[in-house]
Amino acid sequence: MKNQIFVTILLVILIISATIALLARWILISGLTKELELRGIAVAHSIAERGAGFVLEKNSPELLTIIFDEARLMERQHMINYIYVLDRSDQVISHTFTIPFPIGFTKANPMPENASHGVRLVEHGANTSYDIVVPMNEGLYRIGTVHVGLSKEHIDKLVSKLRFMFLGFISAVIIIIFYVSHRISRHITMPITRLTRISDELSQGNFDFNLGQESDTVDPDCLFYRKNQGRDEVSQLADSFLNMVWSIRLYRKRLQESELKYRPLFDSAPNPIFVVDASTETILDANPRAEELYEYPLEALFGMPFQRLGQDHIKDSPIAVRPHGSASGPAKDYVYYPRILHLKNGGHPFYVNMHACPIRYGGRQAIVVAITDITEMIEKDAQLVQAAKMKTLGEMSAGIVHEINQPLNTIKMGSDYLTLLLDQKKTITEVQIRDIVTEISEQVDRATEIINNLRAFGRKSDLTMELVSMKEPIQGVLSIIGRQFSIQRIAIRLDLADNLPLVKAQNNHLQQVFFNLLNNARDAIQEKMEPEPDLYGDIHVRTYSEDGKVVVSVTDNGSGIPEPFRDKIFEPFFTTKKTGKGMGLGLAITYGIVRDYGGTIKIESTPGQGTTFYLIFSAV
Amino acid sequence: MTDTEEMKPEKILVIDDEKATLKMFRLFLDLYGFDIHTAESGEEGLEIFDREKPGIVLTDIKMPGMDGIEVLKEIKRRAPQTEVIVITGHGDMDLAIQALNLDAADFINKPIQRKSLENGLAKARERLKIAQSLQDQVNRMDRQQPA
Repeated sequence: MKNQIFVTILLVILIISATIALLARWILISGLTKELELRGIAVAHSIAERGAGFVLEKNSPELLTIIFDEARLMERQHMINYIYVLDRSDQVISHTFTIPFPIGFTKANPMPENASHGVRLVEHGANTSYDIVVPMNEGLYRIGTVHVGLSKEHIDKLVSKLRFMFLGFISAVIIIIFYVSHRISRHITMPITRLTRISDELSQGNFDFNLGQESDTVDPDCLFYRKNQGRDEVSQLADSFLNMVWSIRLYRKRLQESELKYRPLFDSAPNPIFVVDASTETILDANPRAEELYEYPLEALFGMPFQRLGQDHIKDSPIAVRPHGSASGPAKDYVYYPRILHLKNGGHPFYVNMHACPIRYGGRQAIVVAITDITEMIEKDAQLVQAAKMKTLGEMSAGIVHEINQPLNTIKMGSDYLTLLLDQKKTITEVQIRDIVTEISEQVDRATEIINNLRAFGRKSDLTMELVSMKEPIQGVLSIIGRQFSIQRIAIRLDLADNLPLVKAQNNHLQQVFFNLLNNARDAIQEKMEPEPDLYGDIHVRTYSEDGKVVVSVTDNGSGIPEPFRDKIFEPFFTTKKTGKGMGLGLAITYGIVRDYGGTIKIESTPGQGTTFYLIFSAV
Repeated sequence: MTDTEEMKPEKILVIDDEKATLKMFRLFLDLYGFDIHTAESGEEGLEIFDREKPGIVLTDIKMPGMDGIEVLKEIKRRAPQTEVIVITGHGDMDLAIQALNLDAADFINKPIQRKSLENGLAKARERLKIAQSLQDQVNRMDRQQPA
């Protein structure tokens, strides 16, 4: 840069100088030569004027005096080599040669016709002269010619002197310009060189060099900010650049602080966090907890396809979900996947909740995936549900005993009857035996069915979801408690739609849900029965589909839920029942189960009239 | 008690919401020589009771609608001399005691043992007999002490 500016300036100056030099030389030298010639002509004319009389008189000595006077006047003696005067017949009248007049010299420069003068380069002896010839007139007649010899040597000397002076001047100018241009280029390029050096340092990551700034330009308000005031553009550029460097330094420092702040958060987070490339779906980064939970070494996690960690979300992978909003939907801050199955190294499955959130990572579009291991929670949930079911079974035991007692009673009576017949030695007809035995067999089947339902209800279900038709759990629960309810003068009416879409849930847990709802309905009805002993309980269970949802409604004609309690009834340990009647967990568990399946619960209630619970599930 | 009365089978009413149970009772009581009437609910039972006036009533306690205790009370109100045997589920001792306090003849636990059924029926018959003889004595004393 510096050299370029320098060379360019120099080149331009040289070309201009050379042009000026050539032009000036031509003008000066030709002008000088002309001037000297004119002076020669003037001398010749003067002689022709003054000497005309003497030529006519052939007065050689006077003429000689004149021409000598002219030739030797002042500095002309150096310039004028000779003067000689010729008459009409070109005979030398007088001359200034100190040597004998060279023979034939008169013919060297004859007077041209029809011209006021003539000039020609002539040689005489060792000298070379510009011979100037002018006519000498007397009236209309030419009486002779005057030749003046101007010393070429002298002219050349003058010219070379002039040329020397001129070249010297040009050289001086060039040297000055050279120096000036050097200074200018240095002045321009020096800050740029400095900026270059700083940039190099910056790019090498060294931000802690001395900027060497002059403190006089530092803004008093901001220690680092330099105002671009006055000065030249290069300085302003430098200032801007330094400001930029300060900004970078500042942001870098903040970034470092932020990194210092967030890296430990990332590393010490109690939950696994992954950074996944959005396009390749490979893992870019993972924290130690991820290594621990997934039982892969960190090195193995880097670059591993994220989908290898889990299969549940392959269909609707977090990556497949446009973090910046799909073409149809608006951008979401994050995507949440509750309760999905992930696999450890070695294929051991466990449950997680997953948050996916888009970020820029090292210039790439990436996704931060935060994982929460909820296996333990789900197991605890299952245990709670299980405990609740066991409690329910306890509560149901009276009903169950009654339920099982009926077939047992029939079987017992049937067999006793047969024994009685045998004891009384009466003849038993085949029809009688067949009748009794068929009855006994039917009753055994009935008892078996009850026991199967109980077993299904009491079984600790595994954690995986299945596709459930709402009909199954409702009928299952009813087979256990239906009779007990009817004894308590509560009729359960079923209105179950056929071909209802399936729901992803667990039959076993749904039984608990319906048991809880029916149990609450019964309690509400019994509460109302106290002041109204003639009341007949009515519970209406409906299933139907609506807008792609599966809805189960349970309506009772019980006491209803007072407005202030409606928000609280799903809270654990909230109960309005008498002490010892309920723990206040039934609806809390119900709510937890329904929410686990992505469902919602709605309540409509009129105190004194009854309550309707709506369970709304997404159909598969 | 006359011979003609003994010849005539004793009327008995069984109330239970279980058809199968009723069927078994019919077989058994037929063998014991009763004139059996059955009802599937308390309400129906009272209807038949009013019509047939049976001496002994067997009723289940746990029934939808009107339960056994109510049936017992109602029968004792309409015809106090009627002997009522209540059939209770296993472990329903409270209900059994309640029934005895309401002057039930006996209670039988389900599943019904042949022995306890026979005992219950015997006890009922005994009570009926005692009541009858007491009544006869009262009648005799009335006749022996004319005003």
